[in-house]
Amino acid sequence: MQRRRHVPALLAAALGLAAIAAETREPPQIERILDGDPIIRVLPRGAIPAITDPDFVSAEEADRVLASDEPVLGLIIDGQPKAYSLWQLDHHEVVNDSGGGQDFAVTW
Amino acid sequence: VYGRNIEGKTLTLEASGRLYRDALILADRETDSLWTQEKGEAVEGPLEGKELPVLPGGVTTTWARWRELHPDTLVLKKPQGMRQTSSVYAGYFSDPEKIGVFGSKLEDRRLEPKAEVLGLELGGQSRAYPYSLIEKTPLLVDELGGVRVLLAHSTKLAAPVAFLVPEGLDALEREGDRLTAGEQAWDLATGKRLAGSGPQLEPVAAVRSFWYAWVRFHPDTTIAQP
Repeated sequence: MQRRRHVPALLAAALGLAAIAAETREPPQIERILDGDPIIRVLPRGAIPAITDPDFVSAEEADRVLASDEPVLGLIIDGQPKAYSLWQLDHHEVVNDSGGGQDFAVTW
Repeated sequence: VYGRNIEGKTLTLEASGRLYRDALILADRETDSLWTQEKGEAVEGPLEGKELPVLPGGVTTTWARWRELHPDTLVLKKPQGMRQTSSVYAGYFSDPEKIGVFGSKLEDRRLEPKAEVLGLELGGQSRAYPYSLIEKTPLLVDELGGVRVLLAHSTKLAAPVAFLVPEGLDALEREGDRLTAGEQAWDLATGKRLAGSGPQLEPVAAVRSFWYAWVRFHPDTTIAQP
């Protein structure tokens, strides 16, 4: 559970924030209406690169790069705890991960 | 968090570059179907109408708190030299007036647009549990769609959690994050059993959300009352 998933990185484009390089922006375009609301294209697909082959490190190693108050999404997959920095996920939106005999996507 | 095995395929998901109701639309590389991030539902492409299975149990907390609870945790590796100090959306989170990208019209003002809620959807019913209610209720036991659920604010995570009420148990009590029922006990922060025998607490899929976003995808939602 528990993603605050309603502030997608695409907002960065729309709000003109730094996460997205200026040259990848394009004017928002309404593609079609679905159940009364528009599907809006904001960026070319792939402009925000998903992680497809994630690497993991130990807590000791992570201590060197994660701030103690850095928000993480924590999951326990088949007994193995895993943490994903949300500041890091802001730049990827999706991590395609596997573990405990299943494939799953962490999205933010 | 969604499972990505569906119809005999393992999907690779990524941001499609599209927004819908101010939430992401994802795309999969295998079939080019489009999926709402909010519900994991394919809205376009060969898999249209399919839904990705939800993996319950994810929590958001700080690195220090997670590490304390799970010293054996693995952590998604950051690229060399990447050390961040805040979210690129910090301004968005803190601005009560900003609701969405394109000036969304929110007509349902039963709660403040940016009131934080935990959203549950069970047996075709959806209900929003305001954080403010979870925080002031030591144990919030409810029934939704025929399922008994337990919500609490975990002291150790400093975050809300949601579990199924263990079968046949009624007299639940709590001290700190220790949940007890007679001789049995569990840790609310992890779901782990602390005393007695039997299964751990089973997490329920719950969405951490702002009210405005929850209600746009769940217009028929009810709101948990004290």
